[in-house]
Amino acid sequence: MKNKGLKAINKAAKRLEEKEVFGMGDIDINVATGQPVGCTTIFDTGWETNPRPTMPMGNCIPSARDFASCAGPCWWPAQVPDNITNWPNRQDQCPRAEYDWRNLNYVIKR
Amino acid sequence: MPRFKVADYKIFHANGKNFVFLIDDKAIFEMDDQIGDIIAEWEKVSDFNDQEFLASLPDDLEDRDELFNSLLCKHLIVPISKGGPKKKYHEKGCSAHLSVQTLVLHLTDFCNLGCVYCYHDQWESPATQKKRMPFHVGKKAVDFALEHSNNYGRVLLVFFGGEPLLELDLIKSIADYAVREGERRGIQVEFSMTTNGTLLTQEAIDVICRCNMGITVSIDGFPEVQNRNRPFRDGRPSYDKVVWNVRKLLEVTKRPVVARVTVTRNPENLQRILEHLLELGFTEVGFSPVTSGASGYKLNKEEMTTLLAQFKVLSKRFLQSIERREFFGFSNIIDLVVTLHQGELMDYPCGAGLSLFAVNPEGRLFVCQRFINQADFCVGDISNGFDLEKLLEFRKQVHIGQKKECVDCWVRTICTGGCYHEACLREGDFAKPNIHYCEWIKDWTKVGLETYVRIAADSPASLDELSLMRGYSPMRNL
Repeated sequence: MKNKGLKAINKAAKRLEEKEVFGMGDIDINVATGQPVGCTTIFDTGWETNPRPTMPMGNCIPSARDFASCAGPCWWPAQVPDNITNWPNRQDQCPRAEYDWRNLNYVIKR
Repeated sequence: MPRFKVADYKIFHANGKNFVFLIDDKAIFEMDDQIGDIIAEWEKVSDFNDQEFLASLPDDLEDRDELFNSLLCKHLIVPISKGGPKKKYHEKGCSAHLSVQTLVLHLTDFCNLGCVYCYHDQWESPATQKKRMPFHVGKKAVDFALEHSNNYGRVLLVFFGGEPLLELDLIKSIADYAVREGERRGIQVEFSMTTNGTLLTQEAIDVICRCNMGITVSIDGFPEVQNRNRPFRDGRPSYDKVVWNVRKLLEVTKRPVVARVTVTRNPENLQRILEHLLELGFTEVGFSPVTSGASGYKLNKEEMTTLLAQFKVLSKRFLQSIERREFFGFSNIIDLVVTLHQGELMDYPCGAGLSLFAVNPEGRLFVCQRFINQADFCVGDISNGFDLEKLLEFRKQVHIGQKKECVDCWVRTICTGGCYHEACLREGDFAKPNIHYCEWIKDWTKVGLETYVRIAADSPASLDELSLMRGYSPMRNL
């Protein structure tokens, strides 16, 4: 995507730019930032080799250890409940991953 | 057909480049001349549709649709029907969410210094009415904080006063209890303390190190200023004592120790004061203009101008140090740069009454430490919990949506009206914005924006390092 004469400098600008790149449409930015953006805060294993502010494009994330991602413009290599449409409140039970990850359970689709 | 308008913005320049700060998104973009011309032109048209916009673009411009979509996605152009964030402020109202992330423990009303500008003086009571927090209240306050941490997993306890180190035994008991109780409940308890530095005995330093306590020392700089503004109660000078103690602390503590300077009349020496305090070993030095009601110490207009000039020089030195990959501990610019870097949207200027509360020696809860013992700002007590009605009324009153004077201001999402306590003293109403320093804040924010984009160009990684120092996890970076 061309920059179109605008280059995002701070994080708020980059959040808007990513929305555009990933075709998220005109989602309310307040809602988008209320969720974990990108990968989870703690077990985001890609960061050492692909330090932010770029996305962890080339890195795979061990799904066994990371349960709260897949929100916003982030791809996901394994099956986890989708927290955008069907289980929007799933991660409420896990406010801090390093303490609360045990609370995250499987979702059984009926 | 949807109608659009140009979002509220502020243009600024640095390094020969143009930048745009989108006010309601707190987003900063570097911008080429063409975009600058387009938004300047369409800003004059308060209401347009996409066809009108596209038709105005030069014929030879490729991807005109894409340009429009890009401006829309990046919020330079916003749909009118949505009303923009200004309207959103009013609709959203205030949060009823209850959690405590920081609890300030007002351990004692007593202090061994007699600072000339102390904001406690205005409601100072006779010694017989002054109170100290008994341990059972401190213990209950810890329980209260832990119970209200709402799965956040972490609570910060701040030892405050008066001079908190007059109550060293109490600090020890409370800290021990809080660590024990925190471990039991799986909540991490952190400590910090603001002290005048006169009572940093070896025993106190041991406690500080053991609790890994973050320390801020109130100190005004050179001996003559410190001794004049911050003497002991009996008039003896305090500088030598503070410096002697602080040196001992700095030798052993692993955490950064911050100096907080209250700026009174004659603010022309800030550079020298900052150098002096950094030489003593402080990691950072922050400056606050005095907020006392005592008019003799308030900065007048010229002095505020001098203060800004000094801040500009110090910001320049901060920038140069970043270029040399060094750290120059000027807190005020670090705070501003980190705020701009994170770009978080806020409806309130601070956490007072949201996730920060202060508890007095009797166990009553106040919206922050500055309003301690003021009945109007009491929002419950640690035995019976929050007075929800009063707290929500407070939140409603101080919400940015209520501050009519701020609606058209370009720094509204950064300043958000400023300190409630200062507004109380200067504007006569805690819920009013601090109009008295509006222009100053705008000028200072401009310095911050220019400094920020220069760092972003030269050393972007240092922005994440600075954010980390302010408690932002680098892994949440985007």
